[in-house]
Amino acid sequence: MNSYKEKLIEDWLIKAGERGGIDIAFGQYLISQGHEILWLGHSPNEYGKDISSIAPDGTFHAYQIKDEDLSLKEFRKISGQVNELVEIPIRHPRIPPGSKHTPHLITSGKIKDTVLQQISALNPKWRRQRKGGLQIVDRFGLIKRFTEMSVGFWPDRPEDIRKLLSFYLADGLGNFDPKSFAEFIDGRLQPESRNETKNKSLQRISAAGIFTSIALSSFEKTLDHWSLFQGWVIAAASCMRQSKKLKLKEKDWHGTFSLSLERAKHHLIALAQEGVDETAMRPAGFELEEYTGLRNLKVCSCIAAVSLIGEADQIGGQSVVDDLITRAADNNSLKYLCEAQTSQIALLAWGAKSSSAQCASVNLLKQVTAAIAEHNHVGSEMALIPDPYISEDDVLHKLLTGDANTPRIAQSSWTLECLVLMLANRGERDFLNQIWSNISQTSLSRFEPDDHLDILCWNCSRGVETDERLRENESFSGLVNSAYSPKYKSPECLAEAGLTFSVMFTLAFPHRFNWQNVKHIDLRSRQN
Amino acid sequence: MLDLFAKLVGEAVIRKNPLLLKIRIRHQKEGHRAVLDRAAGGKSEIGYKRLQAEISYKQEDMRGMNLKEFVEQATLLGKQMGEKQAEVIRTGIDDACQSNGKATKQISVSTFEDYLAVLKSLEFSSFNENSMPKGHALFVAPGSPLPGKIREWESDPEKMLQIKAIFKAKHNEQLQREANRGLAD
Repeated sequence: MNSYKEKLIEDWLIKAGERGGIDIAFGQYLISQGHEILWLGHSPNEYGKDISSIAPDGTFHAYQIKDEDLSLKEFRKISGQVNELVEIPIRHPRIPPGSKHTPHLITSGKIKDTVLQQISALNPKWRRQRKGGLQIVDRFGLIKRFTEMSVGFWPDRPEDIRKLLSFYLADGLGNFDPKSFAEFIDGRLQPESRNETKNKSLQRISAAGIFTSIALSSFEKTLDHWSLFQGWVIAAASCMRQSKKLKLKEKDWHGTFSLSLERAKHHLIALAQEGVDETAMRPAGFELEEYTGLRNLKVCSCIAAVSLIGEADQIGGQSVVDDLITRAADNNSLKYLCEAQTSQIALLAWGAKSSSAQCASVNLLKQVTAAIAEHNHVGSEMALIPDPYISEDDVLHKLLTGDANTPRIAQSSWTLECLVLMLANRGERDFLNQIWSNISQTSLSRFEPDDHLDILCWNCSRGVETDERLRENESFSGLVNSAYSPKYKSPECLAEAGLTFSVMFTLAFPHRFNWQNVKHIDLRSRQN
Repeated sequence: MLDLFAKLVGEAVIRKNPLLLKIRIRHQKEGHRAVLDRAAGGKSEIGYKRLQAEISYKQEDMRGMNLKEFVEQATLLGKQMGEKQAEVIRTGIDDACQSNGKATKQISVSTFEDYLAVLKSLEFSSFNENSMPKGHALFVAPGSPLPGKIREWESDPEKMLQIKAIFKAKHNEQLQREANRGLAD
């Protein structure tokens, strides 16, 4: 074991937890071997099975994942789980009741000889009961598998190696750089040549999942749910983009995509669960009021997103979501500083269901719309509300360390058009008419990639930016009708990917917030 | 040393130049093209042009200089570079402004009537409470006698009244346009 790749994998295996680290990576490994993942998660109802899968030969497999050294003492402690893993059949609609499965015990630690002997002694008994004998994989087995799986896909350019190591060695305290991460993952997915075989492309996509796990492990350790959420959404988006570009069959890449999406969802829900705590909206010790307000808005939008994707029960139900949105809007505990937060404001409007929460969230929409139109219209002498390509953290940092000599940026808005159409579809004619002078003098900026799939990448090099304005005497009914006209054609990839991905994509990619990309979410939320 | 010097001059021109700091910059965020869809109708492609100013100096000419001479020479180079860049920027802005109503093609402004014609042809986007344009600046070729003439015309109360009348009319037009902004139905 001498290459930096094996050393890095070993180091990661020592540090990574069984949940959200090794289990996901092992799931990716199984996918790369042609398995179909039926279940990946941790639940007492799964009887010792963290992963269940169907192998390419049609056989069923179940895996228990551990992240510790297994001595006889430790093995005895988990014997209940191991017995359930071996003896209780996999319960899944795709598997006929009572079907035989092969059980596997996977650990990122080492396994003592005494445990191996114990398993050797138990296996004949289980086989006599017509159960599969327990298979084991320890740290060295995992290193071999992960290295073989990713061989040929490791970064070899110094800047890519530096990127991987900089993520791996990050302190994991909110310093995640999504643009750099997206570039790193996209780099891992680029085929070596045009003639790359389909199998190699699929292997490459699975390997990118391993790299994502490794790169995000620092953030996993510190439970930085926001960075993890954003990282996994970027990984899912990259996987979908590259697979569709290569015209791979959906059934072949969907497993990897789903695993990434599930991880993103897990961290979104975890963040929302932290946010519904009564004390979550208050400052955590000494902190700037602006910082508290920015954080509150982000957490509230995550809570709204959880409701939108149908997981409100995980955070106490829809009434909790509605109550929180109403309180946060009424108490002025949210802070809007830049257009990177517009998608968060929109999510509140989409996630609100009760009339009071809807009213509060529409008021927020109006406030933000008026502010953007006032600050960013051509001729405004007020400070420009920064564009969505700059994160709220960077905006706050710049406010605190302001450089008076920074060049003045041309006034425009990347999110105003979407806000106007959202309000128009909510019948807010009078409000829009009041501020129409500013709205009609604001340049509306939009980016359209040459290939619609490139909307899924963080920063696209091929495409057109368009600046346009709404007319001085726009017709209100025309505005409402135009919202669903071919002028605003949604990219097929977003429409096909489903609501869960679209919602998470909108939150994780704030600069992609425009009407084309979100109109189906808006329509769905108003229909419910 | 020369590289560092060139970098500092470049930084100074971009970050500290009061003229450039007044001009709003449009950053291309993504993609390779940008299109401006004008309110008045018609689309136009935004052309990004690289403006370049060059001066040359032989390094061997600096041999044998003491520190004072080197600093003096570097200062002179900086001055030459600054003048060259200012010229390139002025020409670049002039070219860019030709199509948006902020510049005039009237080459000769020798009489007061010429000046009034220029003012009538220009667009002004903001006015103060006295209907005078806010934050506007006139760029003319170096050495032009026009600034002196303008000062002379503006100090004549009668001529100033005519100038104010043009601005007042433009301001009224703008107020009228603004008053009409609104949703049609």
